[in-house]
Amino acid sequence: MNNKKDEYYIKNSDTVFDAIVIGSGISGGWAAKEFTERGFKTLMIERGRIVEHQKDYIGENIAPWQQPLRTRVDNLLVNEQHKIQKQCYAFKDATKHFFGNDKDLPYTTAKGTQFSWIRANQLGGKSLLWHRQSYRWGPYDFIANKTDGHGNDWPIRYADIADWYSHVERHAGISGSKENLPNLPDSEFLPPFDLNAPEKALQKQFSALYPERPMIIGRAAHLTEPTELQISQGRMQCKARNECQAGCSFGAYFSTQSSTLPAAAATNNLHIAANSVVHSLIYDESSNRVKGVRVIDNDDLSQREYFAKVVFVCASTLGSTQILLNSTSKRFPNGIGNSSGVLGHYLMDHNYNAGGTGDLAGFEDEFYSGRRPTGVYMPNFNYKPDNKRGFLRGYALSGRAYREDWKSMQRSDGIGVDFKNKLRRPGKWKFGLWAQGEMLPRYENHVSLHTNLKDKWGMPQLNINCQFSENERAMMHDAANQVELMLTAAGLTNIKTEVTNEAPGLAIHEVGTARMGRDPKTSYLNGYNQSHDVPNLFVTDGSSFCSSAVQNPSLTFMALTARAVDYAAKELQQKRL
Amino acid sequence: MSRKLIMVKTMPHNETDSSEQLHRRRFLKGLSALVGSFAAGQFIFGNGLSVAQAYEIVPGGIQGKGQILTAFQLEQLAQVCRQVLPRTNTPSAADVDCHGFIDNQLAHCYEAREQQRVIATLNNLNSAAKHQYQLMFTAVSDTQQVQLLNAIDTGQSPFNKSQTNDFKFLKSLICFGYYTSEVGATKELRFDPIPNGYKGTVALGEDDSNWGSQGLFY
Repeated sequence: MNNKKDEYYIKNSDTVFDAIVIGSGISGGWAAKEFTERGFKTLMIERGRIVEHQKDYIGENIAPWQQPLRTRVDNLLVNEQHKIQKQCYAFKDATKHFFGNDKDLPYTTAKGTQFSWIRANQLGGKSLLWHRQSYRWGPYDFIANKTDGHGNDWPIRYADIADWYSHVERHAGISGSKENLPNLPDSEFLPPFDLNAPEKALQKQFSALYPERPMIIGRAAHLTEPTELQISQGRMQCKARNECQAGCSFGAYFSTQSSTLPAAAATNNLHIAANSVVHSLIYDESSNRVKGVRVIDNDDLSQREYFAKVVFVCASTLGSTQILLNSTSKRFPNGIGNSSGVLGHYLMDHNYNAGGTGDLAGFEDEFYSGRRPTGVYMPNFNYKPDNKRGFLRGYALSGRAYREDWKSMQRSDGIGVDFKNKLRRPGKWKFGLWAQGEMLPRYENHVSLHTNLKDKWGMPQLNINCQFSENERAMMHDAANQVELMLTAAGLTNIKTEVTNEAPGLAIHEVGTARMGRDPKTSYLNGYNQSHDVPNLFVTDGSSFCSSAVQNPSLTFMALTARAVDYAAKELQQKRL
Repeated sequence: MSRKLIMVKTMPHNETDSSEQLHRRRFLKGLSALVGSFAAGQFIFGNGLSVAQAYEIVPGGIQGKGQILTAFQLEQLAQVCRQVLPRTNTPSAADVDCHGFIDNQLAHCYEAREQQRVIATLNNLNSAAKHQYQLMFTAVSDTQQVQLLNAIDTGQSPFNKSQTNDFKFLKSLICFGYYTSEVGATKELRFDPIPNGYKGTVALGEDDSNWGSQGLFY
């Protein structure tokens, strides 16, 4: 790949590409792969710097005592550049260079609201930093809005996307176990990670106590047993280091760098314009088509333009929405393709505000080795509506069993030899479950362009107005109660549950601000992620979602993107775009 | 204390070179041996790998004034470190300069309020030592230091709850400093940078220690 890079990294170009893909994260990587493999000359535009696989994973495999502050980040740097980003659980010395500089990336929030916007502006985007949990959505998820009347009906059903899930899974590599569950369809699995001994025991107990609540191994985009295709890309079996967000030179988890980029580069149809901050789309009113994009240079702030027959916007939910809102014209004074007025509205995130832990007796001779990059997962058991439940939609629970270590025992009473020896040995077993709840699509939760504040590239800043509602709070109370009941029924002791009140954003599952739908009056995109108003404009990241469901969204970004490219390619060939 | 490199098993040892850049090159080189010839050509070594120097453990402990703590406070903290995590068949927290590390960590990763909690804890121990034994904490016997530390750790007289909380904070810094040091992570605990997979069921031997390797999450 490296010897070709002079050919595929470009800066100035008059070429009219077949396709422009804005963004290089999970969605952008897939769009580029699918277009280039179909023979389309494709330009991937990335606002940030180039990150080369392996070479640029500078925090990888460095022991804590070799790090300046033993994995922590210096206050000076945090206060100067990462006041928002530091809230992310994966913000560490080994990963900090993959997070945005908050000083350069200002946004505002409406009075009385908070929203933490996590940014990963470099080649690969958040595909380098994601948590890699990968679940298909089920049939009930695509009819949830229609069933209870919140949000608009998805224009697609599970059957429309099932084969596309298979398509992306076979390439990306998803580990998991076949379960035949009603609303969590199986993927094309690589072997699952192990459960540890207490998890196996609890799995049995729960299946007897709660037949409707199976506990399974978390499904994750890790190569537990790489296929020939994956090996041919230079990818290797997961080593269970669990330092994924520092970058993985083994290519063992799915990222743009490990998986979609090598595939796209191998076609010789890919070009990449890095350090290109998209300002707006160039719209031609007479043909009602997007002609290309205007970008501001990330470093010297100069302007340039790129052109293509079709434009895929894959710049992350809020990033894409900001670009679309900023692309104004006589016909679209409120953002390109926004005749419906829904652009920016119905912002959702997942809700992580409840959970609980308890102590497990026994298993004293049992332990584990390696650091499993996934946990156990109890799929949403509230996927069917029930008026008596007291809230709409549901939540999944994820967790793990583990033995206590110095981190969880360091504040326990004691000093001296006994204390030191206690911390040396694996402590008692603990088990915890934490909720990941669905958030309803609500018109009031929206982003808009600030009327006068701009960033250093001249982009109007986003103003975010997003809050959890009473439904989400009631759901979290139920989750905490259910965790308490289940842990108690399974015989755990010292059970502690909690409901917290964190604002949205930090789940980093933001979706919904350019939603799909059948009706152009109430939705931005059709069922193929195509703009209702401008035929050669597609948006395939999370902004296209009509609901958040409970599952982590990235696998669905991949499947929707691959499906949209397939459609767009056929439309291009038919000269309808 | 030398800062050895973590090596991929296939790499030759070279005890004399401890530069992070070389370490990174070695990691990639070792990796290419694992991958085989296919990917070997894909690695680019060198350029742009600027990694700041880690806190250098001072053999025998830091001397003189620190960034936050006075020389006297550092000496007192060294004694607290030595009592909390003493020498067993592995070195004590003071042996690996946890006190110097804590001073450096407080300066770079904590706010003034948290720095004051540590200073207050040292003062509280001194006040109690003077009240009970008419001596500074550093001058009382080992037994007396242990008695004072146990009292502040468990909230017994003369210490109140908030003083106990402040001590627990200091204790967590000592533990962090010790178990993220090379000795703590590799000698006291077991360190496995590249486990080659996860095994959910492994027998725990009678004398097996916990894992000192925690991926990103210390």
